[in-house]
Amino acid sequence: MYGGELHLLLVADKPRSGSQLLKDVSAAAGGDFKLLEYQWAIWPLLVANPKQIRAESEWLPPGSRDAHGRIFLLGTYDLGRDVLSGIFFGLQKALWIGLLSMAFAALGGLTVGPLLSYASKYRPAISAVAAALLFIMVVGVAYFIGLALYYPDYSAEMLLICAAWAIALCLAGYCLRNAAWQWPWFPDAWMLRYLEIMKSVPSLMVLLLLLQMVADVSLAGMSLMIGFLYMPVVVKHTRWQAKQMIEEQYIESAVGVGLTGMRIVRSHMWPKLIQNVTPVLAFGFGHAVLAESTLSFLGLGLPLDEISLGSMMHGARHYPQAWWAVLFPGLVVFWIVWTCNRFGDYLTGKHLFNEAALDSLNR
Amino acid sequence: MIKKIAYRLASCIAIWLLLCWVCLWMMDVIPGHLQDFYADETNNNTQSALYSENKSLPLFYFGWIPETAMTPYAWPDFKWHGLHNRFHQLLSHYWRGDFGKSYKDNRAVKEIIAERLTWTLALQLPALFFIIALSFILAWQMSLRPDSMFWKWTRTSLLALHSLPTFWLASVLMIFFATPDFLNWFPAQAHGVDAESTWEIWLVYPAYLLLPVASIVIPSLSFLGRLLENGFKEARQRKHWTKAIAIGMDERTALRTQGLPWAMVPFLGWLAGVLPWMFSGALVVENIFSIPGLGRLLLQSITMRDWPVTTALFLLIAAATMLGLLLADWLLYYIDPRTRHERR
Repeated sequence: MYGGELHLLLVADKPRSGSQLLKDVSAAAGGDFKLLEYQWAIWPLLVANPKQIRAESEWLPPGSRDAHGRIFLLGTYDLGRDVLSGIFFGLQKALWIGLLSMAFAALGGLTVGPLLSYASKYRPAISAVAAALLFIMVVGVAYFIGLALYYPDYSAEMLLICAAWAIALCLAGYCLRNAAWQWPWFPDAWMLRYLEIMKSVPSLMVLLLLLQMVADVSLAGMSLMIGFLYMPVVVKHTRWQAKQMIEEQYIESAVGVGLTGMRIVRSHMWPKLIQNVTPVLAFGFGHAVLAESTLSFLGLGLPLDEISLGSMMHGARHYPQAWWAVLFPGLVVFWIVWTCNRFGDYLTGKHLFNEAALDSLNR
Repeated sequence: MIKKIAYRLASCIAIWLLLCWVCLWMMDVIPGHLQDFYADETNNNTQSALYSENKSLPLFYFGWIPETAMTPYAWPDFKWHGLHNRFHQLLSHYWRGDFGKSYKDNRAVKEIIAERLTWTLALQLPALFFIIALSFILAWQMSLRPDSMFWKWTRTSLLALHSLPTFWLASVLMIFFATPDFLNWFPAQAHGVDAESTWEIWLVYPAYLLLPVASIVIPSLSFLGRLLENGFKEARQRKHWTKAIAIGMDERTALRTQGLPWAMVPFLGWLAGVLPWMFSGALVVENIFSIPGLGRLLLQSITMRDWPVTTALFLLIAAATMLGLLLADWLLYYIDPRTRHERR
């Protein structure tokens, strides 16, 4: 509250244009709100802005104050940024990465696994026309992705057109699945080949190379990469579960009643599959957070000016006296991963080291 | 049996070739090259010549990326390149045992890898030994007293250790045990230590390895320990265990004869990952402690765009991954009778 004006600076980020506060801040007090005579104010618990750079107060130990009397509870790190607020900022980022990557992995796992397992029993043959359309779709998508990567200024509009074509071809193939020339298409074998290939890929190296491919990788891009590399674990799990489920009587009776494959997967397989796949995703969440912080620590993950738990520790590598800049962010990473592992452990009925967990670590 | 082995081998080779292509393709697409890192140095003619020579060749036997793709309708332009392509060159060079020369210092890649391997082996072999030995001991002791306080506490702490980020543990160990501000017991960095062989490192410079080995062993220990303990526990729920106890076998003998084979199955699954882990598993630790091993080389070569080194390491690790899987399958075939009688 300043001069009868109510300002919500956390929400609005800046004083309203034309307000008294904006005039006074820019004119009189050199940009610092604290020096003005406000009527009352609620200051946030975390005093420091995680991104604010204060060159004069670099590497302050925990609990120390800077020249302005601001207290840094967990000290400061590289460029005088605050550790405590950085931890909250990085925590948010780490959780987003875990969530997005696992959402992506779950999306792939929960569609590919049950659909192809269902198809391998109840739809082993599709029309050659549909198969050809799907083949064209796959080749075309690969071609356009290749083009977009070779020519960085390739228009995004063109990629959208490509995506539209891919979806159209997919739909056409789906509609024509019952047409003439029914050929076997071995859905389960395709899935197994996919799993086999992904199992042989040195995933850490691929992740490192993928990160180099994109100049400034965004949070979503990074989650996409981690999710892509974790997807086979989920697919393997869902495939195994779905293959058992397919043999059960309620699926057989659903087929007998005449429900479509999509309907069976949606309402008869997903409820149980989601339940069974949750521990795998919980472990994966921990792995994703760990992967992101490790890569940021090595200076390869998110861009260095983005604050994440790993990049905070990256700065301290050249200043080993600053134990606080390593210890506290690392404890937070540890805490997230531990929580995920305990959650997964609890869900699997006290069997942490089932096949899925083993697989995720071996790869 | 022969058919099965032939099938597995063929699929491994096919996947390896696929990964060859993926690796070359990625290097083609990744922006920037080594010259960017030597931009201010004038004397780099040899490197630029090497680079352009390599880039001028097409990637694969055939291609369909058009030369000018900027028109809105860029139709694929099928071309047959013949044998003069990078994929073929790579394979023929590798076949002759020639892994190329590093862009960075023009040394043979084989030589660099062999040199770095001494450090990696010096680090990873003791780590592997301690992981296996300690987790076997822990799992054994836990299985002898199930549901006791010891069991409960070890289990809980193992789960906690499993969640430890390796890079954090290594950094914390380094800060608290290898910097003058705290306990300056160990050397912090193995930078500038000259060692000819693995034996020399073990005998002359063991202090350099202590903290790195500890930071590799502690997080991995928990995984294998709990894996084995789980195997023992599963054996206890089987009828053959009950029978062994019923005929008067004592707990230790029963664990050895009934439990151990059961625990070997997940252990072999774990062992499949050891071979690639030997090469790249210590990437983070080697970087923190500045140990000139393969993991550090890998990271350096990727960030500096030293593609011959990266390619060799990538394909080496991919081959090791597949070889590990094959070996684990083969061992499982001999240990687990169920796989022998299984029909496909």
